[in-house]
Amino acid sequence: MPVSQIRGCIGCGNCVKACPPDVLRLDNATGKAFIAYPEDCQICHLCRLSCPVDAIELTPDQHVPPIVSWG
Amino acid sequence: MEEERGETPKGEAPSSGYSRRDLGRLAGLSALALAAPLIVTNQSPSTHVPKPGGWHSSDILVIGSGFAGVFAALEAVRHGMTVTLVDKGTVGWSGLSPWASDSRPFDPSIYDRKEWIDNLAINTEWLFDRKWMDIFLDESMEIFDILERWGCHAVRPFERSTVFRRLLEDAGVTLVERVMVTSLLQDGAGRVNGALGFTYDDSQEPCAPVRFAARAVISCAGAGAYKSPGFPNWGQTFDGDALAYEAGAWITGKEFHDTHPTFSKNPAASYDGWRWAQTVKGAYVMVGPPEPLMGGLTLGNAINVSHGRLMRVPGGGPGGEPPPEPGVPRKPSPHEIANRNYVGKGFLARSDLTLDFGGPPEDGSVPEQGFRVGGATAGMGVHKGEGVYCSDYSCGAAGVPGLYAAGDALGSMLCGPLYPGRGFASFGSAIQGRRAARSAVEYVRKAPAARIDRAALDRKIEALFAPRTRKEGFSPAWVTQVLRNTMTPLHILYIKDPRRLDGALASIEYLRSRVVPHMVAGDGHQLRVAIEAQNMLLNAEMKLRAGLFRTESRGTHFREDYPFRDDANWFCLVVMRKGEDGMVLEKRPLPDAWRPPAAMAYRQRYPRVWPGEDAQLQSRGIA
Ligand SMILES: Cc1cc2nc3c(=O)[nH]c(=O)nc-3n(C[C@H](O)[C@H](O)[C@H](O)COP(=O)(O)OP(=O)(O)OC[C@H]3O[C@@H](n4cnc5c(N)ncnc54)[C@H](O)[C@@H]3O)c2cc1C
Ligand code: SF4
Ligand code: SF4
Repeated sequence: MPVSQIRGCIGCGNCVKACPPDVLRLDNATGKAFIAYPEDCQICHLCRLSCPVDAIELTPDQHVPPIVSWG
Repeated sequence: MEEERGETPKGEAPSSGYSRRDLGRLAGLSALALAAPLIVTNQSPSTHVPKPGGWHSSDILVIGSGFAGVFAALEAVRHGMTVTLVDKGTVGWSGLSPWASDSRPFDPSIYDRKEWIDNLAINTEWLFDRKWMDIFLDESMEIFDILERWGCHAVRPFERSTVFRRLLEDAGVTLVERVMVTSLLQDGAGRVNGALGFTYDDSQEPCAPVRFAARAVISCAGAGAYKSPGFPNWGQTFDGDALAYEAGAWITGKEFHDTHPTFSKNPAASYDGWRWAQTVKGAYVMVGPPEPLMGGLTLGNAINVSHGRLMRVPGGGPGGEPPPEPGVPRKPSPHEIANRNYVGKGFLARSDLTLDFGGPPEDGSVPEQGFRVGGATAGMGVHKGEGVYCSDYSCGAAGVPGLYAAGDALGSMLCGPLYPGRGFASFGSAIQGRRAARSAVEYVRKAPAARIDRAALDRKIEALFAPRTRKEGFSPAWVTQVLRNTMTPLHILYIKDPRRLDGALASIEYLRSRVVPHMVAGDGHQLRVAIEAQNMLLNAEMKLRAGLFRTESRGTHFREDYPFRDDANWFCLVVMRKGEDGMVLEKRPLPDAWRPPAAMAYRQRYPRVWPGEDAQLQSRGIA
């Protein structure tokens, strides 16, 4: 899993705006962030860096195992 | 569904672009975590094409808010223009700009211009644009001072987002964020006079078209890649190229590649490779002229692997340099030792700069994570080397009035066909953004008011939303995966041979003509992913065709059947545009004065040796 867990979100919306590939969204009902499209996470940590309460956890492995060019 | 949102418990199956409820009805649900399904049923098709809201009207529309877009927008305002700035993401957070840390300002009081140019000529195999580089050398110190004044040197790279937003808001720029632009609008004479985009975040409101009217449009939409593992640029899918290409612009630079590596352990963990960049506070400055033969971003590694020299090089610094060994001081190159003499002189006399002499960060902030592997940026060209072609340094798209481009979206060849050393890209974008704005302002003063072709706009809106209304078809995630798997392997993208290029091209053409028209999008995010896939496929075709067209090897373009530099035939750029029956490719010669001096022997001109080159040179009588 890439972005893996959100705990203690206060619903500021920063991470949703910070995430370049649109992985995170704010839930209409709860007002909190949730992981909507983990398969599109580039593991860049911008969401975590934007979060005022450090609610976001990540792991370094990709959702779909990636193909590399060589090596 | 709703109650599952909020906090995502660990280990729970992730949702996909389709809602989890929809997924339950799809065959192959359990396989989704491993592979994207091919054909999907759209369980929530839109039953109608949504009506657009109002218009955003201004003198100038800027697309993209990285270094290029911010400098363009502020410069246009300074000249009295009204400006709208639209971004697919959020100011300062999206594109490549949140990651740039190093700069290489040229201080004429300490540096020798000729040395910089001569080194660049060797490293870029003579194909960099000398006039753009002159402009860079003239203006880079000024950009440094401006960023300093703005407070950018007091914050970490991603925190520039706050600085940029404040400046844009204070200047009265209208910000339209999280809107993806999908096409340009043109009047009967082909003048660009607006754009169409859409809101993809449908968590509060259904996604809808967004319309822009302007007298001129500046594309600062950046570059792209194939959402490849290890580089934080997945929001970038060559959208600027696609917009310009469809409007009739020439595109250039597609045969050359960025070759940033990633790590064998968790290759997709882009932050692990770049966390050092986000720890930098204060101005981070490359010292001295670039090396004549900087090794990092060549094809060297790919070529070695392709010849069975399976190098297991430890992963490391920004150009893939090995990480520092604990306790062992790195051995500096002679070039680096020479550059240390500049410390304390000119603007380098300041004590508050972080100085960089090349190589990996010295504080060990790049941990070893297995071995270096290739393709972190698969699909991306050389910074500044790919994009909209401009023939006259105005940043205007050749042949398309009203369209300007700057930064990574402009194929200026500032850095040539091989990135010659860190520190040119972000300042290059800033300089070009400002320049594009000045040209656009001049144009706008004479341009007629925007006349929108309403019928054409309605057709574009319908085409844009077609994947949302289709009931069944190809999944954009599957298309993306097939594109990646087709293009990324080293023997397709990097080590070229006409048979392999043709094979890949046949596959890409099939996807473009037979699959793309049948993609479905279950929601706004999927619609974005579908259009991104379409734009990446267009780029793939451009890269394959340009690779076939240039029958020589140079920079980061290596043809196994033409393993030598052919100055007689290929001292030129390759440009392409949309013709009646597909892509048209042409050469654009560079000035003769930029050619390598005739008196210089071949190996002096080109110290890097391609496999098989010497034999070819001999048989062709090239000395
Ligand atoms: C990890 C990393 C490290 C780097 N290190 C350095 C360095 O040390 N020094 C250096 O000088 N350079 C560095 N670079 C390169 C540098 O960051 C870029 O060349 C530069 O920031 C490009 O700026 P830009 O404004 O041209 O494009 P970008 O910053 O890429 O901005 C493009 C903008 O356009 C928007 N956009 C794209 N498509 C659309 C669309 N369809 N509709 C609306 N908006 C759209 C994007 O959301 C984005 O905001 C680095 C890049 C990376 C990724
Ligand atoms: S790590 Fe990057 S891509 Fe992944 S959710 Fe966070 S911001 Fe988005
Ligand atoms: S940034 Fe943090 S607090 Fe704000 S919405 Fe995201 S997870 Fe919640």
